[in-house]
Amino acid sequence: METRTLNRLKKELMSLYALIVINIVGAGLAMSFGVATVVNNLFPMIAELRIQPLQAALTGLGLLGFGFAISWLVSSAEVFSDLDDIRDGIREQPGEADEEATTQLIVQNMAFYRDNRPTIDRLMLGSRAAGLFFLLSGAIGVFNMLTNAPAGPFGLVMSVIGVLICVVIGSVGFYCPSLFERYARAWEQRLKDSVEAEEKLNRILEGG
Amino acid sequence: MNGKRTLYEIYWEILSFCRSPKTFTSIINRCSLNSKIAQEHIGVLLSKGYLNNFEDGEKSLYRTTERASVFLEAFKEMYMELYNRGPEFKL
Repeated sequence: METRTLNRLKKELMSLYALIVINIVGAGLAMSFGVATVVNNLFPMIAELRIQPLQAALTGLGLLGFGFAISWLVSSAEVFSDLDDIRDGIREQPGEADEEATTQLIVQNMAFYRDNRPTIDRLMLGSRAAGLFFLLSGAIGVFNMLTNAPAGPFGLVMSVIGVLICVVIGSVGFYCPSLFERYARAWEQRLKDSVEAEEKLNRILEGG
Repeated sequence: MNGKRTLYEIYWEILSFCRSPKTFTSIINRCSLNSKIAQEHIGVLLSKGYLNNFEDGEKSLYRTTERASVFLEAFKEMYMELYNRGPEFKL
């Protein structure tokens, strides 16, 4: 039973780890896209000393996306750091699980979830916001292609690639929260069950 | 261990750590408690007869008693069960 539990703990931890890494990569990409959007739209306006409504809107969107991406990255890094401590604990476990060490890991995971619940909520928000930002950028990119056709086949290919990147990252951004929700659902259930366990433990402690 | 733990989780950590005799300082370090809180928890466990305090030379040590085994066993079983009972998270 302990070995099965330990294996399950390992699998769950690796899944969460992968999810956080996806978020860190997504946040990094969102930051760089935000900067690129600002640079590509702000500098031409500065050079021409004229405000173009579409470019101004894109600059604003880029800044907003950059802000969300920073917050998304910080939240992901916070969770990653706490998760790393638990991962070290699991790595120290030999193949055959020791029941006390396995219980310790469950307690550690529960404490991790209680601690990081607000940050995970922020991650879901950050992920959705970045997803929205990228999908909007993709839509604007399509609009630009239709209204102002890129020069030559190279320009067209680059524009299509840019739109595709936006759509893929945007979709991942929208999909990630559902994975976090799945993780939260599993741990919420365990926390709920732990309340019942606490009542029993209290009875034992009181000598009942 | 850091993080938000329930009272019973802290009791379990102290008791499982003190299966072999431990000093007060090592308990607060291992269980990430401040000395005031640790004193309170250890006080409760001493009053329940789950912990035993004895002197070894100049050292004051704490050791988990046989009486705590019911609590420790129940805690382990309940946490294993509640962990395994729920849905598994995987990508």
